Amino acid sequence: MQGNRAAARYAKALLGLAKDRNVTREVNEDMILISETIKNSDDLRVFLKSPVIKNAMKKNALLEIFRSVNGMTSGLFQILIENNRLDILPLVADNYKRLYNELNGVQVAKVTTAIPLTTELEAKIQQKVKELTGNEANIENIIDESIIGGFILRVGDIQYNGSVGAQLKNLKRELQNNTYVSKI
Amino acid sequence: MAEINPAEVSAILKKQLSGFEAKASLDEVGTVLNVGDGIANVYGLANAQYGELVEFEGGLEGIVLNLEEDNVGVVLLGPYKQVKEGATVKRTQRIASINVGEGIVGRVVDTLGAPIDGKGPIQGETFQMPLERKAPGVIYRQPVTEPLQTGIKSIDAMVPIGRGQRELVIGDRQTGKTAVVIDTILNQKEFYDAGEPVYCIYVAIGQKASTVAGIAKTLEDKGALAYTTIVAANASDPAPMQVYAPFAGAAIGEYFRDTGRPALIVYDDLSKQAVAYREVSLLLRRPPGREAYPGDVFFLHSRLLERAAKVIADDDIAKNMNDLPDVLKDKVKGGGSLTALPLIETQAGDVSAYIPTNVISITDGQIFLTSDLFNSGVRPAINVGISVSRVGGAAQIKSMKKVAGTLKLDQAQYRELEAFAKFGSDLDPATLNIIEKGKRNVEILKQAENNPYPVENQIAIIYAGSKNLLRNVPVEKVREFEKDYLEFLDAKHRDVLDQLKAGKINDDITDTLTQVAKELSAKYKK
Repeated sequence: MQGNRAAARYAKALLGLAKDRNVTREVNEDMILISETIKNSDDLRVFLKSPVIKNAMKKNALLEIFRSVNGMTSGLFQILIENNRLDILPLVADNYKRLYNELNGVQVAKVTTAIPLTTELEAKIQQKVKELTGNEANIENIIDESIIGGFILRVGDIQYNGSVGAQLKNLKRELQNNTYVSKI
Repeated sequence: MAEINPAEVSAILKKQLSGFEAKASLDEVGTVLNVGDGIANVYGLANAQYGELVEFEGGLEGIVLNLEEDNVGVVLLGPYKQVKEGATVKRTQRIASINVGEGIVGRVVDTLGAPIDGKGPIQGETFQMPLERKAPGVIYRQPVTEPLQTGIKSIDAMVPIGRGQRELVIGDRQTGKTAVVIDTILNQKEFYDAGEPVYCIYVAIGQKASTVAGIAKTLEDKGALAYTTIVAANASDPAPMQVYAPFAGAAIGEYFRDTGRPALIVYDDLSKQAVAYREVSLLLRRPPGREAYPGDVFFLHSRLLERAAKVIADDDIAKNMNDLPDVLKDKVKGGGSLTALPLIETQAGDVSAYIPTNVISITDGQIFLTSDLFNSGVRPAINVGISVSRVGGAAQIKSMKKVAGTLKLDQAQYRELEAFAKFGSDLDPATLNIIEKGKRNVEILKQAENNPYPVENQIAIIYAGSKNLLRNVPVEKVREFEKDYLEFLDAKHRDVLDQLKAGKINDDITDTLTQVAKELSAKYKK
């Protein structure tokens, strides 16, 4: 994740200014839009990273794609272009979302499961999150069949691993770690 | 291949599985930003501590060595090919440590205390000892008073080592450094047999696995593995494992030291550890200094060697020792000791390089081994002139002190006059006498590998040498005479030897020794 450090600083500055102008929520929506758009469009990602495309053209394209954004967001485009840092735009967006969520006490709980969550399960997980962190959180469901069963819940820096896959891996390691075989 | 008994296999599997609990875990985690050259930068892990062990997916462990604003630098303790960007890293909440117990004696373990000798898990109760621990303060120490017998005549006579001392063994490659320390370990068998073992720890750093296996075999064959632990970080292990191996050894030694028992630790060798540390430091982008070693390489060795100590005999004071691990608090006894024998390999005899000067200044003396002596057949190739022991003299037993008191000076005088003898010029009888005696003393101090001498035998033969009782024995027959003399004493005058061993020396004893030496040497007269 090259450029993450720089991105964190841009995001911090952006949030600070947005706070002063009372537009944090609007800018956050912009950032969600930007990060979703870039994530879903390979063309756009390549376009932003490409060193052969002129900065002016990148700027025009961005303003065209994100026409309805807040003035501060277009200001961000401007400054990133001036500093030749447009490639870290998605990282800035991600960092901003994180900082915004931190500021408002909103947590994102990433739940990895083998099959999609039902509403009933989601409620149970919400309860578990509250038990672990004391706050409610927005649940984001990631489907990964390789965990076989159970679920992995990750909120910020805390991870609750209740997956069958992880237990099987532990068992495998336990069996491989054989002290009856000489290693010298 | 040996036949495998199916019952045995399932018994082992059962044992392995008994420790396995299938339950969900709640962990603090971070995400790998980048990984390469054995270093990983991890985003998150906001509460990770310096020196904490972290666990990667797949069980690979690492030590946190860099704490930065939004990420931590982790050195990996294993192959890093399996670690990928974006992988999760778990905190283990424990500072790098090693599990030590009585069961670790006689085993070969790696830096993290995992047995690698194929003899199964460490038996019995174990205690978690931190790898990095502050050395005991001044109040909890006492001066060195007891000898640590190395079984090597020239060391015990002229550069004596005391329990709790740090004595450097330094020399070029192939000068017999390892042989000296292995002999020292072998010589502790006497104490093991007497029921007062000196626990030995041999730390092999950056050596070939075959060399380590060879040393383990030698120790086992001579019955020395029963009181020895080997900590091995081989050349093929990652650099951080080699850096921490001496600390793991010191942690094992401290367990014995703090429970009131004597221990001896050998670091073979610290030059390789310094090189491994340089590798880690440079990869962590710490600025290089002299010879590209980082600025804190002196501190690396000083904090390690400072942990060798003679603990005060008073239990009540020892109980309050600083930085005691909680698990050990109610087991602490005074009077224990940890003697350290670090080894340093020099390049072409250059002792003024960075690492040798550092370690010379930290230790309480040094034993120099030189290739000139080695090649001229003086083995062990100890250069007595420049070898010193700053505190060991106080620990020498009385009889040895009395007998060997003049030996070092005599030999210095001999070496000075030896040059004249080479001119072949006519020498006055006094000079000739010194030279002839010196030559015989050099022969007396020679000793075969893996053949440590009990202290009473050392005293007996050195007495004969320093009193010039061998003047009638031709130089090339000195070793033959030594053998006869010691065998005779052992057979006919065991009581005299026992008294010498107890530190006693009086006219009766010296008369007997003189008598025997004179009688035997008459046989060699031409």
